[in-house]
Amino acid sequence: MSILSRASASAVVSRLLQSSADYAEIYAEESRSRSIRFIDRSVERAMSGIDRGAGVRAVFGTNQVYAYTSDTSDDALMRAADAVALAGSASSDAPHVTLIPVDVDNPHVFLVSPDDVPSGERVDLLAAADASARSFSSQVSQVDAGISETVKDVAIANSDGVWADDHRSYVRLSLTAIAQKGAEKEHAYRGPGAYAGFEFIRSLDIPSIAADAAESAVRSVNAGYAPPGDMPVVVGNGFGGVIFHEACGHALETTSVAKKASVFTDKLGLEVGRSCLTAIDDGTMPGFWGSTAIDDEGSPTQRTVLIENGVLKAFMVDRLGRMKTGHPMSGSGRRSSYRYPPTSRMRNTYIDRGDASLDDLISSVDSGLYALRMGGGSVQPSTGRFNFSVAEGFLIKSGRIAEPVRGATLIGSGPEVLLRIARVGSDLEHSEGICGSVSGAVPTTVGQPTILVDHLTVGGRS
Amino acid sequence: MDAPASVVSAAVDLALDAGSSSAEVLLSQGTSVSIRVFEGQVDSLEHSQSSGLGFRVIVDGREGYAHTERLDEDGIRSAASWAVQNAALGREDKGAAISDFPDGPSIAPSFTEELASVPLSDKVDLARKVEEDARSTDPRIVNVPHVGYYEGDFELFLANSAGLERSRRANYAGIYCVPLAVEGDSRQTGYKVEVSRSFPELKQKPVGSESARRALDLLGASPIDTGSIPVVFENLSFCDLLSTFIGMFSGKAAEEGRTVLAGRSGERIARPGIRIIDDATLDGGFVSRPFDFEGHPTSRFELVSGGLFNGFMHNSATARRAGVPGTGHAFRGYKSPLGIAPSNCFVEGDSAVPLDSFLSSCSRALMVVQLEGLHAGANGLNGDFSLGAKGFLVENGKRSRPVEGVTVSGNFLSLLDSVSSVADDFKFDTPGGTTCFGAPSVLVDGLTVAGGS
Repeated sequence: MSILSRASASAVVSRLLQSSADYAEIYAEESRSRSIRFIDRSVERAMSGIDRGAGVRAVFGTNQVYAYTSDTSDDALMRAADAVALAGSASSDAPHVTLIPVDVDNPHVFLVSPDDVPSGERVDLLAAADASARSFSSQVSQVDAGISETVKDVAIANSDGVWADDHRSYVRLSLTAIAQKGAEKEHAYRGPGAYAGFEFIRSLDIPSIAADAAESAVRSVNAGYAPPGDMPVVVGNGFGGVIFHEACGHALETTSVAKKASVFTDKLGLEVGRSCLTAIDDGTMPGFWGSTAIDDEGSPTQRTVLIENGVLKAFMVDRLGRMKTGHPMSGSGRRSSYRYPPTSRMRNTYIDRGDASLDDLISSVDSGLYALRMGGGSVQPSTGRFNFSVAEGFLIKSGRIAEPVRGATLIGSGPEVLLRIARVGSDLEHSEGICGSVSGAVPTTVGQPTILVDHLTVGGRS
Repeated sequence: MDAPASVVSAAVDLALDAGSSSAEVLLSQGTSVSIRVFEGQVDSLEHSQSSGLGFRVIVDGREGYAHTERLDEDGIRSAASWAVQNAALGREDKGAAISDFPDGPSIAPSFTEELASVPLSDKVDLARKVEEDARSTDPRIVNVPHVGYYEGDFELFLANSAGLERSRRANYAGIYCVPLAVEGDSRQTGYKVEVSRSFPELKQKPVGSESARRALDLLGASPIDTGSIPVVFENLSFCDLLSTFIGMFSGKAAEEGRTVLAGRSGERIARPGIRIIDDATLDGGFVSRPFDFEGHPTSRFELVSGGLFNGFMHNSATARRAGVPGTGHAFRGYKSPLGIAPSNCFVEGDSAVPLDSFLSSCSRALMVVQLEGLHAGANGLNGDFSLGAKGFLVENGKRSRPVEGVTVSGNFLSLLDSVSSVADDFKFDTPGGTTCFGAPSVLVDGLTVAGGS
């Protein structure tokens, strides 16, 4: 591997073990990124760059010491190892470690390297998106579109003898349409992405995606405000899964479980939802935005069933999380870059499909809210209480989808809402996002079929 | 790597060789240490050493960017050619320019050798002591989930094809503590952080006990009834509001139509006694700098004085497009495009009185000590906010009980025009990146507070 030689990796791991570390690791990375932003009908900015560095980690007991450097010369790596080793004490009988290449099943295929794409093609695709959104309605006042690509090589060695590398490729389109009516503005966002080469961008019907975003923005700006109150809520598929991600998923990572800060800490084997609820975090899905062949600690990624038929089955566990809690590792150790030590993180997380049709779900509600698309929100980690905005909503009246509404928020607590999921649809979809947490920003997908929640507090304007 | 100053000037030449009409190169390098403790043990210790180099080039009036963390000649040469290729994709930018500027004002150094020489064990001991101080304050402090020490040492090197060459260095250290207090069903956290360039001074700061006190004081908090009520924003809460809405004063936001202040220079927007100042030359300021991120000299800049809005913060490009002089507010990192940021940015008032004396003038008011939801509940376009708040009910001049579960709503600009008292407890918040906000506690006439559930 050009970014890290086996000899330097071995020297660093040995140096750490000589300081009586219980676990030693080096992670090296080189990442080439490119982005282009199109706004006001022209390219505002094109940027590209290369990030490179390495992080050295030792665990003493359950205490973690980490050093990173953007200088990957042998001298700099050894200085980082020396800084980490200071936290330990000299050991005369340090074990010798032989690094052995890890053989991993890698189902991900990258066909077209971003380097082989003519720059003009990106500009043409974005210009087509812009034109399509603007031609949808004269109320579309602005289109902000971009394409970003990152190709990343990582190499990992650790004191278990793991010697692993991974070649990663991420591509994503992002598109915001803004609709204006008088002084009022509303926007709608679409951001399809994949763990793939540029062929993914070429496979998208970008004008349709742009027109769809324009339609949402125009509908919102012409909508009335949602009424507040406690009511049944049908949450749409795809990005609707963000509520599970934020209000439950984070509490199932050992980062919070180990500190006993999670409401789920002592709930393994217990019912946390009704029998219709199965939730999965899967890092192995081919081509999915949150997938990788190995995690950032060198373990093969896995499919982890978190909740099965309402019963809590497993947590998402990184190596330090295993050392702290004893739960088996799930290949969930992730980090944004060499600047962060890894920790347990979500990958592709979703509520699994059930058997209800959208019609079944809507028609079972006499009066309520259909939250077709969710927006952003916040969660208080210690209690799981959340507040999410509904990007695109409709009232449900007498079992039918009625007029569109805007300005609605959904307020509740993650654990409570799990128990109130009454029916699960069959229309499972996934939606790409960037999740920020202690080990930085990592690509994840959220997902779910359309679900019916018995009741939720809807914040709105009367 | 060669000396950074020679790396940046060589990089400028590489960019010109690659076809730039003009080029700017920024190199930043730094080291940091962060120590977290838990129950007397070092839970985590992190060291970092990093550097990166960024190009901003202009080719035929079009701007292009690229960066690299590979600082060998190959790495820098590649980035230079990417920047030129990127420029070819962009639109013609009427204001973009790369220029030489006069030297900035002479200001006190932002770097002290003393901090750089403190042994690691002393820093660990300090973090442990802060945790212990918090725990021993009261038996109701059951846990200290976040407590630690951090320090940074950063250097910036800047050079461009117009002949400009600049560098500066800054360091600081800080301690923070977030204890958890529990009594019955009530769980409250407190937060306190202090930053200094002197380790002995940092050791004297009562961060553990004060953060514990802030958590304990909120135990048993409950909502108050919905209605309009005078609100006291404690100094750091007012800093939070200022940092949330400072983007309204950006010349870039103005030209993109993202601020309601566009076109309102010279208008009255605040009580006459209120000033908002951005002062990069402030003696001892945490982010003081003689020149900004394109080398433009900085100065003390009054955004608001005598109640009047004086004008926007600009970089040289937004200033040129607006037809006004530059203000020295250019900001960029080696990975980010040219933007705008304040430095030491603060609110001050003409006549400051002790906090107690203005509380004693309140028959009934809400004192806000924590704001929540600053990202979701604030509209940076027009200044509207609706934010979760914790604090105290003030009755008959005294703090009567703790409050939580309420939402405070209003508008930042209206609030500037309805400040009725300013306290003498001015405080700077912790520096975040390149900016540091400061404010005193202020009393605001009447805001809508929604309580209950």
